[in-house]
Amino acid sequence: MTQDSLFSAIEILITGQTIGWLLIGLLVGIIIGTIPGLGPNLGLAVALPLTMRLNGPDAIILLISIYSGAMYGGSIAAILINTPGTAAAAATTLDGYPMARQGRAMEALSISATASAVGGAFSIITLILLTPFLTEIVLMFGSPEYFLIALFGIALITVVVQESMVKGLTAGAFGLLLSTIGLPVAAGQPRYTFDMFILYDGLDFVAVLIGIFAIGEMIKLIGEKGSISNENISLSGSSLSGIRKVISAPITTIKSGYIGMFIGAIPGSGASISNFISYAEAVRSGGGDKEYGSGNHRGVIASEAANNGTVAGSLIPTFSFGIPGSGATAILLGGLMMHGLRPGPELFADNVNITYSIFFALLVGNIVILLLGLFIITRMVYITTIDTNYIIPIVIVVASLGAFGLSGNWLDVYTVIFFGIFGFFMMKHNYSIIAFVLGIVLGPIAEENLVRSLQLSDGSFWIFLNEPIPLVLTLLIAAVVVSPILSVVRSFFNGTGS
Amino acid sequence: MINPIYNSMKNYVTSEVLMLLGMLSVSSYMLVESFSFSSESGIFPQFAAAVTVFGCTVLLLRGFLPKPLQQAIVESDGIFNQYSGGSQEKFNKTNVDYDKNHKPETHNENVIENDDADVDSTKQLLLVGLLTGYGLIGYLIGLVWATPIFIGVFAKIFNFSWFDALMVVSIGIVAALAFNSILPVNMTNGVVF
Amino acid sequence: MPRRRAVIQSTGAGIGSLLLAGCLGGGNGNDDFPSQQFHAIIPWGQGGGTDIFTREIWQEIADQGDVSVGFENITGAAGVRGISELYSTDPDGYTISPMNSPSVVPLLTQDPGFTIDEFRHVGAYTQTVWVLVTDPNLDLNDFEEVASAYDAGDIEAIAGQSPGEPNHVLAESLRSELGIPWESYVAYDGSGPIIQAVAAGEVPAGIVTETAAADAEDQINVLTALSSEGSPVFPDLPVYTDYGYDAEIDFMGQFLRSFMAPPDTPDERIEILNKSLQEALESDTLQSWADDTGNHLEYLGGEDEVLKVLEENQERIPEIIDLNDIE
Repeated sequence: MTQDSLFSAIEILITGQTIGWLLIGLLVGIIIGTIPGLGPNLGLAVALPLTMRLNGPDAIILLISIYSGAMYGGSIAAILINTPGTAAAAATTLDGYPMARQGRAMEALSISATASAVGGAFSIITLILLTPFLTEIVLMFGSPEYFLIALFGIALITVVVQESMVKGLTAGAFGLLLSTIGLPVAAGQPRYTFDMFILYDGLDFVAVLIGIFAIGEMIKLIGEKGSISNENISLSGSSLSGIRKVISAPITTIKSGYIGMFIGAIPGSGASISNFISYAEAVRSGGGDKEYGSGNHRGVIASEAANNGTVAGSLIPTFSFGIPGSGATAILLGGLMMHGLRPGPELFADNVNITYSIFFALLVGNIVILLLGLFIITRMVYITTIDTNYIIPIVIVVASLGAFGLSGNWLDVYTVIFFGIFGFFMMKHNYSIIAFVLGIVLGPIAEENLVRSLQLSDGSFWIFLNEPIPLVLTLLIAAVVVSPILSVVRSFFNGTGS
Repeated sequence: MINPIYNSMKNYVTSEVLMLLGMLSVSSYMLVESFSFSSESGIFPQFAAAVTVFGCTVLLLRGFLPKPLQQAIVESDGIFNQYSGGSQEKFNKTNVDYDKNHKPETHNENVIENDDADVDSTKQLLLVGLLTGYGLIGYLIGLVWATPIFIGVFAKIFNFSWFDALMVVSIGIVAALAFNSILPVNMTNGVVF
Repeated sequence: MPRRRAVIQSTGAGIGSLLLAGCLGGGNGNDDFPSQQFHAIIPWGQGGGTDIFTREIWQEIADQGDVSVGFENITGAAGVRGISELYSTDPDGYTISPMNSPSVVPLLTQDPGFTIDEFRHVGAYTQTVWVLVTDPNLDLNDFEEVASAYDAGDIEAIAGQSPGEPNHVLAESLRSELGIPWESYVAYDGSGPIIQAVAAGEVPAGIVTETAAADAEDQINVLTALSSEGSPVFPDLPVYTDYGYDAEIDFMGQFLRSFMAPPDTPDERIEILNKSLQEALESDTLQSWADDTGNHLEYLGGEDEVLKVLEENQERIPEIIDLNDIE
């Protein structure tokens, strides 16, 4: 069974245009990652409508390649101009930029490519080996479990991100609420449609994603001053010594890849967190090595191996339970559903060959990143100097066209514009846009499974408590939600007591 | 007498308050409306709307709550805080020694600078206006034709050179035509023609 | 296209239709049809069953007529958005849409201001039969055993899709027409998830399409075809009338896929389209495509046959389910 699906996965990968989409995705991803201010979320959001014409596996492989390429591309600007192309490469600036200042830019760039490739490859191989076990777990889940795990995903996000829990929960609940517009799956009554046709299917969550991750980011970006760098880019140093540096630090590389993978698997904690944790771990295990922060190659390795490892990790909750852990995987989930690939049992039982082919594509992609990084990328460094003012109108145009193209529905264009503005204000006031987006994406899944669970139990909520797995999930959700309330109460008494 | 009240009003009515009021009114409406649905259709919107209404109310009224409670509501409470928040700052300091003019922009996607001095909100407002105009004109004459107009006006307002403006407009036209041919919907017609 | 419409409008409706009639009527008027590009409005999403059928078949029809064809997916409101779009296009025979017989339900509930019998119907190209499937662990071996298990209260739930979908109407008609007293209806989002739930034992039985059941035969028991004519995919499968029931639910148990054109499309053009459809369905290209992909293509009649099925659906469905519950 497993062997058959592995072979059929390889067949999917090598036939047709799949490899071509993989390469295009990586290139686009690297370019988007390189430009400061644009990141994987934006690249994925804008590309999503365009994948409508592709078959499911090709579309997902294209999207994942953009994601993975952007993770690596972020390091180029981080090293050369001290501005991370993406949040996921923020920790790379700490040692990468000093290396460039010391005339070791090429070395830093090739360390980044090699570490990204090795960290990414190890984590993805681990993921492939884990898949049979994941399948066992996934097949134990029924309607009550899916409802609870969707809630758990949203609750967890609000404690993982560094924002106020109340703001996070409110944003998440508002997202869930907006997802109820239109015809529900479990009952035929249309809701909140004001008898307007265009509202019967509710808000298209792909349009919401495009609005928040493309338009919202552009509104934010245009207000930022001095985003252009006048850095003199000099490409000195040796790329071969970069590869050698990574090979001579296998433990840092592999450990960082796994740290990234582990953190990626927790909903809400994406690469923007993992690269710092991995860096901190490298500093800690380095025993207070003074060189960190002034051009230690291990710093670059730690950050870059971790952010590519995060990609593999973040696919675990996305593919198995349909709970994306980050903005990028939320869009990826949108892509899966757009192409009729439902996460959960279908991706792990019936279509496990498609799942494997996506994982293999990611593995191949990491090898391609190494080659691109070593031979081509050094010629693309000038991308880092593009003035973002030129990019903003293009991104807006492409986002709006893509949204309209989803189904020729004007509501989608207005959704994009409205949620672009709304998303900008949420970002401005530290409301978790990830929690909000997850609310919108997971709302229908959560509702469908809630209503179905109650249909199965004749309306009794005991169905969420009377089996081991639902019971454990219910307790976990309670713990996540109650713990901050307890801390509020505690701080209240401490405050009045003192 | 009036001035202090006006000032405190002005301090209180920020864009965050407006956003929360908007969310509160939408969710209150949806909560009320949900009781007219059958129990199966209504249960989930009721749950989501109730949490939203409660959250918005708490956040709107947090100024009137006791200080420690207020702090607990707004304060960061992430489990990874000690790493990404704390270590980030520590490392930034090391970096400053290197080049005082280049403050590394290490904020991540979850932490947005609240420092309004660093942000040009006039440009942001302009962009929001342009966006709305783009949506409107697109509806009237079709998105493909609205695209060069939008980019042209954008280029004019943000002082692109003629050559740059021409380049960006052409990229926009190519993108619009490409989307029109790739995606299975017609983008060249609006309601007017 | 827009220019053409403008001309007709500016000359006034009366003269416009005269003009149109003048163009189309007459002995040699039909010789140049089709001479322009066909335009297929697909009211359902890209990559779905209806979308794939429409693209394959109309590509072939266009190739035969030596013209081209453009496809546009106008999705939403359970197909009603696309159907409304077709309703208001020029009735020149160049614009067509696919239609599936169960789609009369959203037309009835959403009441867009027109009914399905106003359209012109080109012909039917295939039909899909619904089958009853059960959890293999339950040891229910035929339709009769399922019926008595529900009777005795040994099993209670039955799975289908959201209210108004064909398998919901079928479940309701099993109870009201055939007297099978299931207790609770559980809605899933498609045949795939229903099969997963039945295989995992979450629900004892469900109603799915024959094609979906064929893909998962090793996980579930495929018990009965819900059409008295049987299932083309499972030729040996018993049908519900084998157990002494009258053929009451066939109108829903098999759904008919067809193509339609806007109201007032001239007879001559409908005839030409109908002949082209028949030729296309018999062509080697489409037949070998059908064989390769496991689909079944067969000409199942023209306008009269299609209308008979659609009207029966339109009439019977409101008797079986309460449309107000869906509205």
